[in-house]
Amino acid sequence: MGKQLKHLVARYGLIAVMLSLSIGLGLFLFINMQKKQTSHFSEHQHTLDTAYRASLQMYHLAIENFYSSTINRNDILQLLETAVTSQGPQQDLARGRLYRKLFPAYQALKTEIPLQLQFYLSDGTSFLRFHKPDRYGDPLLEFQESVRLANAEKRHVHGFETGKVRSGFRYVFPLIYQDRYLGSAAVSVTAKGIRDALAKLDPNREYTFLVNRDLTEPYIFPEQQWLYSPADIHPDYLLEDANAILPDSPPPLSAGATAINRQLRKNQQVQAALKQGRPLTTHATVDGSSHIVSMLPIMDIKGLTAGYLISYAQDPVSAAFFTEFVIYLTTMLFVLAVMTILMLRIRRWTVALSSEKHNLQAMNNALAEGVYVTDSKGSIERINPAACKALGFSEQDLLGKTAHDLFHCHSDNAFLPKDDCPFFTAISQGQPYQGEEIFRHRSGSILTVELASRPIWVSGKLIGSVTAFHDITARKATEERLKQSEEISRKLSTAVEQSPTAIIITDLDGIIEYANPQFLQMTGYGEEEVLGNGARLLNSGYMPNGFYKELWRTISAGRTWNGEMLNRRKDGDLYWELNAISPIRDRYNCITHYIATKTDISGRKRMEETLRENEEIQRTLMEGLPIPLVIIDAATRIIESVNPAAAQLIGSPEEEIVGNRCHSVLCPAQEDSCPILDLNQSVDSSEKFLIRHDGRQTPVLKTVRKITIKGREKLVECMMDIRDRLEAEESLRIANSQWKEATAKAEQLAEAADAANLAKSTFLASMSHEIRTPLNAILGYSQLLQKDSELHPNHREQIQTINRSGDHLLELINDILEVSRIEAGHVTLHPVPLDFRQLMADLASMFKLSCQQKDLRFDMALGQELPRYLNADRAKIRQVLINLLSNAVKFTDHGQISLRASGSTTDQLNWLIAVDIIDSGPGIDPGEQDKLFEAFEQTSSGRSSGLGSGLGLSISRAYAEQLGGELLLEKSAAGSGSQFRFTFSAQQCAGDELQLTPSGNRCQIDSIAPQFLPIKALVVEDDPNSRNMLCETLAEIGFSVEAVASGEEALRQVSKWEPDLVLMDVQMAGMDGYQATRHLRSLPNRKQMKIIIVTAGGLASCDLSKQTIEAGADDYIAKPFKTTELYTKLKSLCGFDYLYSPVTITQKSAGEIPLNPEAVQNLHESLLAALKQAVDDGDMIHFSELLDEVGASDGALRDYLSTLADRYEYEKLLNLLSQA
Amino acid sequence: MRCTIWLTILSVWCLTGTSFALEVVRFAPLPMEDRETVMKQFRPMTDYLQQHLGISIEYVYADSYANILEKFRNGDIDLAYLGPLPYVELRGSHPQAEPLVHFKEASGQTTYTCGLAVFADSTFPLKNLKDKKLALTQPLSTCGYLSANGLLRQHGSSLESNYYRYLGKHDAVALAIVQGLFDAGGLKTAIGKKYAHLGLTIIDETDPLPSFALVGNKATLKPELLNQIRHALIAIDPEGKHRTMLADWGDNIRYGTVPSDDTNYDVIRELLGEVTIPDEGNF
Repeated sequence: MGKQLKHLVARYGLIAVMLSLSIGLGLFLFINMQKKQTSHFSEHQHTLDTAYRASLQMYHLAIENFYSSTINRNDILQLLETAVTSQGPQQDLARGRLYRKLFPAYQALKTEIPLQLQFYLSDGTSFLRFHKPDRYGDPLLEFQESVRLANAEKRHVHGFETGKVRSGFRYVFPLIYQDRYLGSAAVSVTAKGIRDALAKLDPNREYTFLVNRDLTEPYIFPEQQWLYSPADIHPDYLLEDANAILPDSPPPLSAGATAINRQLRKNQQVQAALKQGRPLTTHATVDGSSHIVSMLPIMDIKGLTAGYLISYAQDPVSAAFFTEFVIYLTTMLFVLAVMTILMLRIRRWTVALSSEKHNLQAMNNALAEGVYVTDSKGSIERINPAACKALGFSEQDLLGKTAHDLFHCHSDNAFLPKDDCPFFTAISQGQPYQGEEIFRHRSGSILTVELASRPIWVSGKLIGSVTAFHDITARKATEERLKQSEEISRKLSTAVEQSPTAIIITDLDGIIEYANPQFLQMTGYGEEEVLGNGARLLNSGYMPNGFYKELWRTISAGRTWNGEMLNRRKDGDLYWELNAISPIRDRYNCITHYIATKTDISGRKRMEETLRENEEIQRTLMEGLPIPLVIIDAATRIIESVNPAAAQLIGSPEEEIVGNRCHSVLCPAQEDSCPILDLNQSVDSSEKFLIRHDGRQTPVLKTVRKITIKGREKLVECMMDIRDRLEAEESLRIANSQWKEATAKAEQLAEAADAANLAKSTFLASMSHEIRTPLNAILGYSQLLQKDSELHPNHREQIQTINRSGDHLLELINDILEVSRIEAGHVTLHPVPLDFRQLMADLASMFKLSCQQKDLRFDMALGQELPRYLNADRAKIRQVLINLLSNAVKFTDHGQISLRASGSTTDQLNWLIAVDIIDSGPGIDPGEQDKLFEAFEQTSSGRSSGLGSGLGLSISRAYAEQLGGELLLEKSAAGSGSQFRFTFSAQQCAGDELQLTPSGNRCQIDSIAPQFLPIKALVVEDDPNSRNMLCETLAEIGFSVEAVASGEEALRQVSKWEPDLVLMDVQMAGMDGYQATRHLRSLPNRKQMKIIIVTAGGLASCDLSKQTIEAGADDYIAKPFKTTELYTKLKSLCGFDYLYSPVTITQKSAGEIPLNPEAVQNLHESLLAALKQAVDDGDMIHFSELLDEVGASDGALRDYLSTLADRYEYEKLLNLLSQA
Repeated sequence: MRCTIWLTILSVWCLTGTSFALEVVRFAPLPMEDRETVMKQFRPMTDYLQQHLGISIEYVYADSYANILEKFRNGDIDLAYLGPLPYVELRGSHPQAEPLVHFKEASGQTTYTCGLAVFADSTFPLKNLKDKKLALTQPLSTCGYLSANGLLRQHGSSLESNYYRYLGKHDAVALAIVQGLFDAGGLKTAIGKKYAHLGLTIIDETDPLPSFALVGNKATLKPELLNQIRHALIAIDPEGKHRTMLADWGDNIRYGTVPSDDTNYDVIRELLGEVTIPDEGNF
């Protein structure tokens, strides 16, 4: 324990002492700095206190003077007496005069001191406030101690006090006139006054004045509350007008002081001092700048801490104290550290030296070698025990003697004089010496020693030498014997090394001790890999059990073992070796090792194995080959061998076939004309007949080749039964002939069909253009004419008839074109969110009316599972259902029509909706059901009705298939009605995606707004009717219009006239519309010009759009178009606005609109029928267009009908139209 | 579920982050009295509007009526408390000035009067008043030149027959008379009566004039916000639930409001007629 403590003290004592010293000195420096800082703070606090008192004193003197010279005068006191003793207007007058009298003096003093002046009555009520003249009459006695004291004790009272308006230093003077106590006058200096005075005394400081929240908040006027805000430094204190809104408020605190306040809010010492009302000076650092903050509590008249005066100033002194402390501390620590390091190092050196000396002594004594030290004369000064022992002398015998004289002799044991002794000469001259020398033992025996001697020099002077030696007499004798033995070994070794046979020598456990190069080459191992390993390293694992036991038994018995074994080389290859293993015996005839000689016989073994395998393969091949094979001796033409397949083909056992001549079985017709043996062909591959054992001939494909086996020529024949192949070839030949005939016929039919289809498409396109162009003119002009307000009513109706007929014709063409588009695959889906239940309800409302008119019952059933909102092509679904329901109503004369819908889904997202339309009509003849859905096909009842084009069901089925469903006639029989099933797939969606189109105001376009005019439009159209119609349509709303009849003219006119807009027809003689557009777009500076393609072609909209973009036009419009459609396009393209006629539909309840029944009757018969038909068909778009015509003659009726339609009140609508 | 709610709230907050920044409305009270009085009068009202409308109101203070009108025209003021004449002047040059509400007087009426005040011991007759010193507020003050001159003219005199000077604020006029610096002065009658205890006496007053109004700047504030301000003030019930709250409001604005309309000011326009109001006093 004591040792450990000593060790610890020795090791860490110095460090502990130095650390204690550092801490002590550090503490001393810190306390020193604290003392300086406390002294500095105290000085600062004292300065603030003195300045504050000086400021108060200054004001005190000024206010005392003001009181004695201005207030406490007879005239003033007399005036005050009048005021306090009178009432009403008299008192007001006196108060006013007092104010008037004192105001100039008050004003003069106020310019010097920010003060407040107030008179109190003897009961403590405020009588007159000079600083707030409109407020008076409020009691102050209870609240202001100064007033209470002055009133009670009739003496001057002064001190800090909070007020109802502001806080400050109040000086209250009792006012006595002719022994009558009138009341008191108080002069208050505001916080700003104190602050200003302090700032004058010490402008380097910033000041703030806080008031005690508890002594202020309950007493100030409510409307003054906003002026006070909590102080950042402590929540118990308030700051007056922190933002300096009022003119006599102190300036707001600087950002630095505000930051210091926030910092000190977290300082426990500061918080405690403020809480207890103690003065305190402290230090704060903000943004790297050092500040000193002094807090002086302000006591009020009652002796309570009413507030705090706080000063802020830059404080380089504290920072300097701290810097000084840091420098001293750093220097001290550095010096102590250096001292510690030096002392530690010296101590380590001392210990090391002592230890080294001790070690050297021990080493010297422990050395096996003899060592002795001599002086410059050769006398032995020191000698180690080993040297004494080797020489047989004691240490005392040798010390002071000379080695040369005592024990050094020479090889022949002769004595040499010192000067001739090379060893003595060398060490005497200070030279090192090394070599073998002869020493004589004390007993007289001669020792051969190996010695080394080195001179010892001190400060350049030879003072002696040190000699070390050891006895090598025994080693010398051994070396001699070894030399002889090595010679014999070298010879034997060379023989073994050069041996072509692999040789290894193992110990009795089989561990290899030697392997010659041939062994290493044979096994592939390196010498280091085999030495120390057992011979089982080569074990392949394939030798039988007991093999190695037998081997060991043989050699352990001292016999030689000979044999073959399969071993494994390093690379994993197996090899056979021939072994001879013999024991090696020592001179006692004991077995010490085994020697094995090994020869690699793998090549021989491999050859033997290959031969055996080849024989096996040949035999297996012959017997297992599925191809008949025969071997014939070429010389004798005798069959030598057949395989089982050949025997089976021939139909005889092998033994019956072998030994026969080949021609008797294999090719009887070719006796003496064998292609190989007789015709010298190398190979024969041909179809032949062989003779079966029953004499039948079998066709075979035979391949014959001549081979040589062991010098004899043989024929090898392979055969294949080709009976099945010959039969198949015959069948194929017949089928080929039939296919060629059918192909030729199909090609003829396809050519005919292509021609027919081309003819149809050409006809449709041509018809479309030829009909649409004039139809465009008809519709355009009829719409233009309707705008003529002076038109005779009869003529208007006739024009409306023309317009509707045109519309009907257009719909028919559109149906035909739709079929054409469907066939061409141009119809695409436009899925939108739809309210499916609402859609079905609308359809039910529509068709219920039609059914009532024919005394039919109508019912609808919707499955509970059906989702309300779906995402699907609403227009197509609606068209299919209307078509099916219209057909049902059309062909049913009695009974009922049912509409049923159901849905199925697997994932609640994707639905398959099925709608059944069931009628009790005449049914469809089974013979007509096949053609029901074909275009232009009508049933007999359809034809007899004379209605429809026969396209409806064809279009509907195409739509159903596009919608991912189908349209089927589920069941129908003559006289028992029909049931159609329409299915489509749709996705469920959220209802809020539905975009409901609100019905809006209907306006009629009058003209383009004047600020956008003029706009120049060029019409390019070769058809004069269309051209004129288009020009008038554009001119009608204010365009400046010019027209040309061809693309070439258009180019010239555009360059000359520079229009803003071009309406370009497509089909024109010469340059067509697309070419003309491309040319126009290549003209310089015409990029801003808008071009609209006007086409009568029946192309799908996507194709039109593509061609329009490719040509460089901005948009297209298809003929015939409605005027409003053209106007809308022009507006969006050119970006102008229209002026509209304000035709606003009043959204009243339909029931509230007074309607004159004659109004409907006044409509033209054809218009009425068209309206009714539109409602019947549920075609509310067409209905809406017809309403424009109604509006031309009767706006109110149009609004009424529109409102009914918007509210889905189809029943009422139809009743109304039917009444007329 | 809770995560979803928080995520939704966070998303909405992120999307509408800017809406959390309060809209700042710059309000200018008419400097009729000293700044402290004016601030005290209006602070509760602006606190009420801030609380109810979620806006932030900043005060713009100027000592001159003309200065306020100039700032209003320049778009530096969004809302102002103006008397009838300043409003009419402003509207004449800045049609976007929109009167929102009239503040009722203590009488419950939406009109007020301007008066002529003297010290209680004055003995001169008002008839054919001549060579007296009169204190006026500001050229653009309704109770300033316009009213004082109108009243004098009713008594066979005019301001031009006397000496007049503009002092700025109504209370300054009242105190200047009490201090004996002027023989008489023109000011709002209600303010003059606040100084009756100092011997100030109203000797004549005008016919009722449309009361002071809160005027919004349509050029800087959205119509919705102007409407919201109007409705917030009209909704105040001085006799019912807001009675306690209004006790802290200034005595000019604590008696409730009624909607204002530009046509209410036609009487001022007629009174103004062809009169040209001098910018400075004549002595």
